[in-house]
Amino acid sequence: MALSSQSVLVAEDNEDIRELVSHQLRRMGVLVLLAEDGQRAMDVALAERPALVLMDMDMPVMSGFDAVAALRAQGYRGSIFALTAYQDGPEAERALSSGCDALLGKPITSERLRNRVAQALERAVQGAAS
Amino acid sequence: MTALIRGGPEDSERANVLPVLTVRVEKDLETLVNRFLARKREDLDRVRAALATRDFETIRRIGHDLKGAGEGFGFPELSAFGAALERAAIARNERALKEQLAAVEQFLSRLRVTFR
Repeated sequence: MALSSQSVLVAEDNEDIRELVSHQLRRMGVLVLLAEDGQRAMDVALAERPALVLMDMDMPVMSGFDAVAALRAQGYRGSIFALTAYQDGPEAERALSSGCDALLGKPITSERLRNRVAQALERAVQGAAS
Repeated sequence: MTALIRGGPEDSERANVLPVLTVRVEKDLETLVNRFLARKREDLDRVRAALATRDFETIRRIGHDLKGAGEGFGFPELSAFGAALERAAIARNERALKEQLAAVEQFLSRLRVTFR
């Protein structure tokens, strides 16, 4: 199933961050999908195939680590950025080894968010065209 | 993310009143920021209640969330307070927790956000 090149899933249990990130993404013209826990994130990502998943790693029900690993095991090939306060160390390494492509460190500033998301979506468009 | 201009402390009318800290935010974010700050004030009550029962895990979680969100909304001070709360909760340091709680309360009471 093809990726939806202009949609982004925000998987984050922190309501403040979920609202802020989704607001910034909508301002970019991105279709935003939301999930509050890892299980829901996995279900939405497999059903909707967004081009990018922004995944908090510390979530209830199913952690981001487990959700990412399950998504990769089930063939999800879009980009996944780990939303984490840890830029290095065991947590960061675990996020990458679970299947995340990159880390997007918290606190998330709008400029950094826009740049990283725009790059990922551009890659998705190029990938779909090639 | 949101603060366009961070004003310095303004003159207070009374000498014993702490100066106001003015933060200007994009009008577009008014609803989001107001909701965020309202939730943070509610969180202070949750921290107080958790301190009374020595529920350090709840405080750690509140601190962690504040650390992750504060700067994104234009309030880096709140991220710093969140980090300090998280550290103090992990250390189960009640004295530090009370100090941080008071610091956050003071910051929020001084804060005046204008939107444009």
